[in-house]
Amino acid sequence: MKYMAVVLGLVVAILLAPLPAHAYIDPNSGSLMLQAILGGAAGLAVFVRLYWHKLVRMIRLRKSNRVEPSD
Amino acid sequence: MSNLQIEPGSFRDRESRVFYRSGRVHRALSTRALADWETLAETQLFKQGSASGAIVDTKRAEIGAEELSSLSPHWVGALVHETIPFISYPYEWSFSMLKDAALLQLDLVAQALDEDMILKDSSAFNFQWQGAHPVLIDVGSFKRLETGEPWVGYLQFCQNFLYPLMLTAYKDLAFHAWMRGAIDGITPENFANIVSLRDTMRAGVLVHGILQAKLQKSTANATQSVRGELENAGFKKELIVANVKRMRRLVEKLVWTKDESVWAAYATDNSYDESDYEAKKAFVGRAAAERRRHVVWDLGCNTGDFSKIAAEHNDYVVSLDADHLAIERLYLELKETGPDNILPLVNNLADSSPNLGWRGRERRSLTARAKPELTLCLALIHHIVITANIPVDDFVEWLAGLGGDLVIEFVTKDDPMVKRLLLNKEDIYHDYEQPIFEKVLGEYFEVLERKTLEMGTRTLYYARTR
Repeated sequence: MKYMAVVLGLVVAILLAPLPAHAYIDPNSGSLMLQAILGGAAGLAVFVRLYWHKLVRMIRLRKSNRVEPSD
Repeated sequence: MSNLQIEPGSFRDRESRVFYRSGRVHRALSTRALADWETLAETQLFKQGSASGAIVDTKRAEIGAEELSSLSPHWVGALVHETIPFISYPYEWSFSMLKDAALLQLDLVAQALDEDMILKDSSAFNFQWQGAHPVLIDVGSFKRLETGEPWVGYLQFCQNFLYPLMLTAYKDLAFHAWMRGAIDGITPENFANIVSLRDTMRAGVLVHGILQAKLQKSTANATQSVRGELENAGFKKELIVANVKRMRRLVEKLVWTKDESVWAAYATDNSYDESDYEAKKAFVGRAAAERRRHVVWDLGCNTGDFSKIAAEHNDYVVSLDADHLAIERLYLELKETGPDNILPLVNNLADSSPNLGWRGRERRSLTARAKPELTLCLALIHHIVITANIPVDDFVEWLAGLGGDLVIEFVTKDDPMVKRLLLNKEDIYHDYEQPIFEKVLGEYFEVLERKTLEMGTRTLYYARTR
C-alpha cells in the first residue's frame, strides 16, 4: 500500500510537472523510463535516480542555453 | 536466376528476413541472429513452445552458402518454418483472439526471461493462427538478454495489444478500423486523448496510457540514451519479470462484455424452419464433400454452422464475417470445442482488408494472400447488393475471380430478411432479381446443382467456374 502511495504521488507529480515537449525523437525513451516506475520498489529507486539526473540536467540546460535547437 | 523469393513484408529486422524456396517459408539469418537461434534452439522455451504449437515449428534449412548469398552476403544461415494455412492480421481478429495472442506474447517473454532471453519486439503481426490457436511465427525475435537491458517491446505491446484491447473492453470501441489505419498500432498520445476522466479509474489506463504519453512528451528532447541511463541506474531482469507479470494480470482481466440478449439472438435469428435448414445443410455437405480441398472460405459465416460442415471434409476453413460479435462467439466456441481447422476472421467484403504498409506490400489484401478452392456464400448476397449497394454482376464476377467452386444462396425480395433490408429504402435494385442473378451466374459458372428450399424464397446453387 505504501509503495502504491509513493507511485501514485510520483504519477501525479509527473502529470503536473511542466516538462518541455518536442515531437519527434525516439518515443521509446518515456516508455523505457516507465518500466522502471512499474517494476516495484527496486524499479522505483531506479526511476528516482534516473529522473533526478534528468531534472538536474534540464535545469542546467535552461540556465546555460536558452536557444532551442531548430527543427 | 535465383529460386529464392524475398517476402516483401519482411524487412524491419536487419538480422533476419523471410523468403520462399520451393514453396516453403524460410528465414535468412545474420551472424548475430544465427547465434541467437543456436541459443534458442537449446532452450526449454523453444522445445516446449514448438511441441505445444505456441511457436511455429522451425528447423535449420539445408541451403548452401552460395545459394543463400544470392539474396545478400549478409545472410550466413537459414531456417525453414512450417507453413501457416492462411495468413491473417490483427485487424481481422476478434477481441478474444487479440487477447489470447497478447497473453501468449507475455508468456513467451516470461519464459524467455527464465532462460536469459527476451523478444526484441511485440508486434501483433508476429502471430498467426492454426485454427483457434495462436502461433508465434517470428522466431527471429528471440535474442539473448543483455545486462541492464529493459523490455524494449513494451511500447509496441501497448500499441499493438493493450490499447486496442482496453478500447474494446472499456469503451466498446472496435479496434479493427484503427489498427487497419495505423500499421504500428495506437500511440500512447492518441490513447490518452481518447479516454475520459472516468476511464482513468479503470485498470491500466492512467499508468500505461496517460502517464506513458506524458513521459514520452517529456523525454522527447532527450539527448542521451535512456537505455544507457537505465543500465547505469541498476535496471535488472527482475524488473522486467515483475512488469510482464503485472501486465499479464491486467490483460487477463480485460473482458468485452455484451448484453446477453445480443449474444443469444444469434442462435435463433434466422427465418428458416427446421426442415429447410436441414435441407440446406445437406446441400452444403454434398458440395463440401465432393473432393478434399486445401482451403474453403465461408463468406458471411455468422454462427459458423456451415463452416463446420465444410471443415469435416476439407483441410482448412477460413470463416469470414463483418460482424465482430459473430466472429468472437465463433472463436470462443472453436477454442472450447473445436474443430481446430477453422479460422474465424472479421472481414467486411464491401470494405475488405487492403494492401498496406511500405509500398503497399507489408500487409496484403484478402485475395492477394490466398484463393479458396471452394467458397460458401450463404444468405449473404442480399447484404452485399442491398445493404452495400454492390451490383449483382460485379459481385458474381468477383466470386468467379476467386477461381474455385461456389455454393451460393439467392434470397428473393419476397423473403422476410430482404423485406427488412428494404423497409426504409427505395428499391432501386432492379438487378436484384433471380432470373438476372441466374443469367450472370451462368456467364461465369457452370451450375452443377440447384435447389429451391420449401419456403420458396431461397435457392441454393452449387457451381464451378468456367
